[in-house]
Amino acid sequence: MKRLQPFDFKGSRYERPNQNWVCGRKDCGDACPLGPDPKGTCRATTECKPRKEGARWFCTRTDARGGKCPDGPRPDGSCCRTIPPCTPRRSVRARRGQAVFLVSALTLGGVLLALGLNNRDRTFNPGPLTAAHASSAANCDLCHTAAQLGAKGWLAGAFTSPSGHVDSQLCLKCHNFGPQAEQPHSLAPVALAALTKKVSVAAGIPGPTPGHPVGDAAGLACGTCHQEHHGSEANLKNLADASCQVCHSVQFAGFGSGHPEFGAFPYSRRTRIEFDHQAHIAGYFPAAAKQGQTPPTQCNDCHTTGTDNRLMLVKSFAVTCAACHLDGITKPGTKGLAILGIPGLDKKSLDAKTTGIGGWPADADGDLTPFMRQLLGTDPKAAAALATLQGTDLTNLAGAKPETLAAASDLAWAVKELIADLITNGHSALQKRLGTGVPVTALGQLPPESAQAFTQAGWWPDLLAEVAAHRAGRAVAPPPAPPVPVAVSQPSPPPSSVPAKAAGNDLLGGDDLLGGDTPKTAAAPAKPVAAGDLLGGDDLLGGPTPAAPTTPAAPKAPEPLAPEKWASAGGWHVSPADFTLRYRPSGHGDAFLAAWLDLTAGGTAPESRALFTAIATASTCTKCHSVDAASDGAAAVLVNWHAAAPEPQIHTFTKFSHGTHFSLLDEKGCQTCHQFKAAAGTTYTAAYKDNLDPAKFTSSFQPLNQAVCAQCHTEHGAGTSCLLCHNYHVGDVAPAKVRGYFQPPAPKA
Amino acid sequence: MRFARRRLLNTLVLVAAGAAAWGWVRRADTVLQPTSLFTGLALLAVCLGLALFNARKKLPFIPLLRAATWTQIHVYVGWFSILLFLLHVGFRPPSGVFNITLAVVFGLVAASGVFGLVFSRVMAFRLTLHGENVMFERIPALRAQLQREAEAIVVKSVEETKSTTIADFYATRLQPYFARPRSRLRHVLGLESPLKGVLTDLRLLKRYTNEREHAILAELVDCVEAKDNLDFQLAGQGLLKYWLFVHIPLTASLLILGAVHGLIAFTYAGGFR
Repeated sequence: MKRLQPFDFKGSRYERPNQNWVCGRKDCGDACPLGPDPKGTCRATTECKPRKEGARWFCTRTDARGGKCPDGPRPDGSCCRTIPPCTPRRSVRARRGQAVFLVSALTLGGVLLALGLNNRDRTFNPGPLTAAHASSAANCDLCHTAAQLGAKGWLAGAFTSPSGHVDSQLCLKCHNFGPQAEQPHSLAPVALAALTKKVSVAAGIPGPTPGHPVGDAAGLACGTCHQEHHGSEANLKNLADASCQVCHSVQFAGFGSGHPEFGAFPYSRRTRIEFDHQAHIAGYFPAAAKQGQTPPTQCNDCHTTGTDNRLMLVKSFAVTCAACHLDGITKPGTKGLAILGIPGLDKKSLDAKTTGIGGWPADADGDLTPFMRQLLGTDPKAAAALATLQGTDLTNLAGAKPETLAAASDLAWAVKELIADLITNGHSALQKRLGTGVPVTALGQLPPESAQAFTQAGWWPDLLAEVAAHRAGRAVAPPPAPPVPVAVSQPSPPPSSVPAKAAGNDLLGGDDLLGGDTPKTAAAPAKPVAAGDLLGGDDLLGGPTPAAPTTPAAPKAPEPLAPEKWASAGGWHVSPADFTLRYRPSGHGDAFLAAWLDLTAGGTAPESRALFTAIATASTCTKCHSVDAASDGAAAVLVNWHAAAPEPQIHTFTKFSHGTHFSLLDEKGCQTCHQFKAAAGTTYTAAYKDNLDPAKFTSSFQPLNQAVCAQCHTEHGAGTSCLLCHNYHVGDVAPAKVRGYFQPPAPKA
Repeated sequence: MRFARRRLLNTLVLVAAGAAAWGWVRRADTVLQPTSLFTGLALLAVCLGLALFNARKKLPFIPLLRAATWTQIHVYVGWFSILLFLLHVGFRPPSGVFNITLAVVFGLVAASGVFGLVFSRVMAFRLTLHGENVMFERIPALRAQLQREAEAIVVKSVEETKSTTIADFYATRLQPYFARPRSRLRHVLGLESPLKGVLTDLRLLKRYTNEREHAILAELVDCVEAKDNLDFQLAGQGLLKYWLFVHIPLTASLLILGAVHGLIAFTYAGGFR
């Protein structure tokens, strides 16, 4: 093949591809040897620069350009062969440099333009948000504090911008995870450490990992796990199982291989409502069926799923228990609970050895009711008297010491003042004695006007006057004739409207304004009056009562009903026999008993404890509603009024949706998972006897069998992800807050 | 053998580094580390390091490894950058106007780099085997020289044979062939050479010429073959140079976009804190 390119000393030109400019005639093979200058200006003049030797000029054209020209230099020494000027062009390398500059400038310009445009946020948005956050796509500052810096502040912001924890606060404006939202599991570090230690000790595994391997002292920013901008369908809660195992030191391959045993799960405490499943199903229900009743036959007769379809809840009392147990609550014949009463006192001794205690029913022989002890407990004088009189028989003070007698006198007046205060000041007196922290429900359920029964029944007819005199420091003389209790019945509930009155002690009797001169003697027994007879047999306009009836015998008045019978449907009634004002529950969920049980359950004072015990003993509430020691470790307790019914937003470490599993059950139904424990009845009920610790219990059911779950929950089946059955955030995880703005009404013109 | 060993060794190092990076990212993802920030920073640093290769070429007087070594590092670190990119985006297609632009630019830079690598391996071999090796800068001048020679042969033929057969053929068929580079794409793709058509026409012309003209035609055939070689050299060497017109400018664009992207990411993520 023909060779074109000579490589020799004279014939080969030296190429300089790194220079920016090349001769414009290079492609024609006629490039000048000098070439353009660095700025691209043609430097071509002549083919050579003649050399003068002596008086002559000689051509200096190189051999590569053809050697000396035949014409030679001109006489003035200039070359005769002028090179026409060319237009130099850039070399390949220079053109590449130009391209780099051009593309860089375009890129930079494009970026600056994008930064300056109004839709900057949309341009630099790294991806679509999830559907729930989609409305925030054009407002970066809703989720990023750095967005408030603006584009100008980004450079400095890269090193000074707030950390992810600050951005997390923007998340928490809508999403509520409690005060420890960013801490692992949204638990306080101390609580988590304690919980981890408890679990690790129980399971015999390594102790807790101090802190979290990722977060700092402030915890984990929300964005650490929940990464946005991955599309509208992205799952922000998606997290690999391995991430859980970073902290959880017991590692295993999957749910079906190595997952820790359930243990006693899900029975971590005794049921709040004491209900012995086995005893009912094996004994009570068949017996009820024999009596013609229709007891439950299926689990869902008493249980139903909650609104979120997750947990099985207990249906209401009316649906489940009332058929058999309602009568037990309002059982006729019971006297009810003594609320207020006149305690028995050795009045004779007190009158003889002290300044006197005024009127006092001679037949009163009862003790102070726990309610009164509670109310008197806040009166310092009464409290001191009660302390002094502890163990003293108040009905026999004949040989008592003076200080005992004084204390008894103080107590007597304290009782009177209590009743008088209730009559005159009503709920204010209650609140003053019980404190302002007492719930209104408790106050409202004890009607102070009921104390008027003490005067209306004639037990203390001059109570208010006596108390006024006592408070004024005047001696109070005993009344001339002690009243005799009269059978008084009153319907429930308004004790203040008691229509019955005792003869001689009613507003119009004895000292009746319109009364005649009915002779009264101390020994004269009071006449029983028909209930409802305001005048008590006395003639309003009465003159002297005829000594002997001359008219035909009046129809015999009906026998007065026993007060308990009047109150058989529940409510308040006066018990003259023991000088007490009593209360009978009106049914299940009685507000009075519930309010006072709750009130006294929280108190640690002996009076509160005694009152709680008295109510609990007298009522049937705590027969089914278990009583737990308060979780704070104080002496106070709490009554479990309701069966377990967790709020949907309260997240525990484990979650389970009963509703989604119903379709999987076979003929065994719920017992597929919840199997009865053999002969658990005795130990089940024993856990409620004198035991305030709900954790000490025996369940009626066997713990869940993990193998049952593992039948479906395989990697390629129902799934084995940790987050399928476990919550990361625990506690009160309320749904995103609703911005319930409303437009205020326009002011009227 | 030496080349094969070097390639094997470098490939092993690349695979090991890639596996290490992939394993680290997986582990870091598991412990909820901000791997996107780490891989993004690493990717930006790697791209800067790769871009230094061009700067190194402009500073040949610096005694900092041989250019061949730099090329090897550039090639294998370039492959590693592709893996880093995939780890950075989580093997998902990016979204968002800016991110997609950045990803497209990275893709173009990477693709042009891979193209350049493959082409420099294949085409250099072909260029070496294909006729006379000439310097790229000299090709236009050599083509002009060849055209002048061919024209001189034609003039000579007219003078010697008093016939215009060859001159007419040159004017209609060969003059456009010599006037400019021909069939660059066919040369690059290795398709059937255009030389064959010209030589066929010359062979067909032969039956209309005498002995003396046969000799002249033989000289023209030499010129045509030399021209074909120049076209091949121009196409091949040109592509070896002009692919950098995509690779290098886009690299500059990539660095600018990458820096802005990193700045925004750091600002919005609050850094590593």
